[in-house]
Amino acid sequence: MGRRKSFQSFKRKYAWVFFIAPAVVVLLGIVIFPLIFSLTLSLHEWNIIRAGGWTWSGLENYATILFLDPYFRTALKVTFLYLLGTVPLQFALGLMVALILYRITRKIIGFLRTSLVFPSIMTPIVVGIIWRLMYNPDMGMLNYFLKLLHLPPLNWTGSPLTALPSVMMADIWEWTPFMALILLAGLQALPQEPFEAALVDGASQAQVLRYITLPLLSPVMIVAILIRLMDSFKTFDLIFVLTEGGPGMSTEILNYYTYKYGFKFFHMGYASALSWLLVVIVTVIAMILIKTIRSRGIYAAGG
Amino acid sequence: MRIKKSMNVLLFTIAAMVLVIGMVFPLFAADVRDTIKVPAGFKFGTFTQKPWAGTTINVAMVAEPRADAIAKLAPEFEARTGIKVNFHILAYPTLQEKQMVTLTQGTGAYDVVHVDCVWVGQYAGEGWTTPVEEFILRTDHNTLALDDFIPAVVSEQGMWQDRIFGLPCIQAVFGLHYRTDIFRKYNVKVPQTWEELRDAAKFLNLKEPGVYGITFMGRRGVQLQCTYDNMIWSFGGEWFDANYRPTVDSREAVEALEYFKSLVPYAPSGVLTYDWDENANAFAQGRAAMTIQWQNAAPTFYNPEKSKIIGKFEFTLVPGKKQPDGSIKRTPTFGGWSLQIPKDSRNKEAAWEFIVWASSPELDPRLAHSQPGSRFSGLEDPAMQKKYIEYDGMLKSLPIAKGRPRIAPYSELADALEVALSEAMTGSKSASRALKEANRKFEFILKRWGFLK
Repeated sequence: MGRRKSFQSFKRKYAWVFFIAPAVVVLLGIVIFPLIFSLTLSLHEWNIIRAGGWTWSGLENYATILFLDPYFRTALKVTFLYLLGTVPLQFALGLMVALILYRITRKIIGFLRTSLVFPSIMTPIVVGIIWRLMYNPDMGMLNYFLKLLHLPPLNWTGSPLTALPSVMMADIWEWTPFMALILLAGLQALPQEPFEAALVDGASQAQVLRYITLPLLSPVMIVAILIRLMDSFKTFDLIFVLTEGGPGMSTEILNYYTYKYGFKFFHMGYASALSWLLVVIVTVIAMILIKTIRSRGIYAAGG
Repeated sequence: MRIKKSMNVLLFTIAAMVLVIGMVFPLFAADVRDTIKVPAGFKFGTFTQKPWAGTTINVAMVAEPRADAIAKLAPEFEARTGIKVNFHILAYPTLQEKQMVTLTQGTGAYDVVHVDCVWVGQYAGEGWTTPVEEFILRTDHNTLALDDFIPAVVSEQGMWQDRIFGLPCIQAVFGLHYRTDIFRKYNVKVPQTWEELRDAAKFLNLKEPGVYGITFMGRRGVQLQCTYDNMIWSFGGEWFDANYRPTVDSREAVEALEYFKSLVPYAPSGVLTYDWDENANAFAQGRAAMTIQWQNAAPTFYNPEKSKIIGKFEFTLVPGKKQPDGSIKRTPTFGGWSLQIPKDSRNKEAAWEFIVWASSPELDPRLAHSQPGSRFSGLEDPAMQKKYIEYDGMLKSLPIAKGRPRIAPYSELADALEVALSEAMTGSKSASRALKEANRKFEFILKRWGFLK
C-alpha cells in the first residue's frame, strides 16, 4: 500500500520528465549542440582544403571580419537595406489584405485564402526561377508590359540600381500572403464585445480600426513582423537564383556572404564567426523591437 | 581437353611468374608491390582477365552530358571486367562539397573522383589523389593511347608539378561563334584582334532587325570572369606574378577591362544578366551576330529544338591582341575535368581499369554525341568534324589555351575578381578603381593562405 502510494507520488512528481525528455534531447541534439559547436569553431581557424585541422585563433576571426574584411560592411549595408525594403512593405500590404479578407464572409473566402497561400508554399528556388524569367530584360514579361505602356525597358537584375529592389519585389510577392494569413487569423480570433460596444457608442469605421482593431491585433502583428524579420535575414534562395549577389556586391546580403565563405571557399571557422555575428545582430534587433513596443504599452494591453 | 586447359593455365602462370620476378622484382619491387596489386602478366585495358570481378567501385562525376553518356555505356564495362560501377553524378556545387568532405576525411567513399582543372592544385597538391605513372606503365598502349590526347589538355587537367594524376574527361575552351550568313551578306571578315572584334560588333549591330553585334556572359559569376580571362591574358596581364604578388590592377588588366566594357553598347540590353544559358539561348535564337562563349555551347546551336541558326554559324579562335611584331597573341580560356583516383580508395586497380575504359579511343567516338573528347583521333576525324562544327576550332584553340590559376584559393580569388568585373561592367565603379579594390582583396586572400608573406 505504502509502496504503491510512493509510486503514485513519484509518478506525479516526475512524470513530466518522460514527456519533456524527447523534446529536450532533440533540442540538445539539433539546436544546442550545433550552436556550441559553431561557437567553438568560430574561435578556430579551419579550412577544409588544408589538411591541418582546427587551430586555435581566439577572436582573430571576429577581428578580421570587423576591422579588415572590406566586403563585410558592404554586405551588412545591403542586408539592412533589404530588411527595410521588404518587411515594412510586407506588413502594410499584408494588413490591408487581411482587413479586406476579414470583411468577406461569403463562400468565396475559402477559395481566396487557398489561392493566397500559393506564393508562400512554393519552393523559394521555384519562385526565384519564375521571377528570373519575368525579369529577363529581352524576353521577360515585365519588360513586355512596360513596352505596352510605352515605357523604356528596365534592366531589372542587371543594373546596380534596380537589382536589389528587384529581389525585394520577389520577396514581397512571396511573403506578403504569409503576413496576411497570420494577421487574418489574428483578426478572426479577436473578441467581439469591444466591437459591439463601439457600435453602440456610435464610433466610426476609422475610429474602430484605429482604437480597437489595431491595438487588439498588436501582439499578432509583433509576432508576424518578428518572424518575417528573422526570415529576411536568412534570405538565400532568391538571391542565389536571381543575382548570385551581383551586379558587383549590390545584392550580396550577409547570409549569402557567409554561405560563400563556408561552402565555396571552405573557411569554416570564418564562416562560423560570420554566422554568429548574424545571430547577435538578429537577437539585438528583435529585443529592441519587443522592448520599444512593450514600453508603449500596446503589447501589454493586447496580451 | 581438361588436361590441356589446366596445362595452359599452369604454363601461363609459370610464364607470368617468371616475367614478374624477372622484370619487376629486381628493380623497385617493394615500392611497386605496395602500390599496385595486379595478377601476373596483367595489362590494364586489354580486358582479357577479370581479376576484380565482383568488386564494386564508386565513381563521382559532374552532371554533364558526357558523364551521363558514360554511365549509359557502363554495363559494357561491367560485362568485360566483372567490376560493378556505382555512379554518383552530381551537380557542380554538390560534387565539390561531397568530394572535398570525403577526401579530407579519408573515408574511401569514392574510387574515382572528377576533378575540375582549377581544383588540381588542391587535389594533387594537397595529396588527396594518387599519381598514376605506375598504372600507366602497366596499361595496354592501344587502349590508353596517351600520345593521342592533346598534350596541353593532359597537362592542364591531369598533371601537377611534373607528375600525372589523371586522364582528361570533358573539356571546354573559349572561342568565337559567329554567324556565317550575316558575315557573308555584309562582307565582314572574321575578326582576328580585339579591335577588329569591336569594329565588327559595331558595324553589324542591328544591321539585321533584332540582331545585335555581339553577346557574351555578363552576369556576375565564373562565366564573366572566364570571358574576361581571354582578354586580360592576351593584353599581357596576369592575376598575380611568379611570387604571388597580385597584379590584377595592372595597366594591362585595366585596359582589358575597359575594352571589355566597350562591347556592352553593341550587345543586347540584358547582356549583363546573361549566364551560360541566357547567352547560348540569345545566340541560338539569332539575336546576335557573334558570341564569345565556350565551345560547349555549339551543340545548342545545332540542336533543331533550340536553335534557329542551324548551318549558319561557325566556331573559331577567340580574337587576340596585336603584338608589335605583327603577330597576334591569343589566350583562349581553358576549362575541363579529369578522372583521378583518391589516395584513400581501396579499389585503385579497378578504378584505373574504369578510367582507362572511359577515356579509351574506342569509346571516344561513341561518347562524342554528348560532348567532345580530347583526343586527336576524334577531333581530327573528317566525318566527325563535319558533324560537330566546333571540332576544327577546338583543335586550333586547345593547344594554345591558357588555364586559370590552379592554387587552392582559386575560387576565393575568382569571386573577388568577379565582383570587380561586374562593378566595372555595370558602371558602378571605374575599371581601375574596381580592379584596385580586387587587388587589395587578392592580397588579403593570398596572405591568409600563406602564399604571400
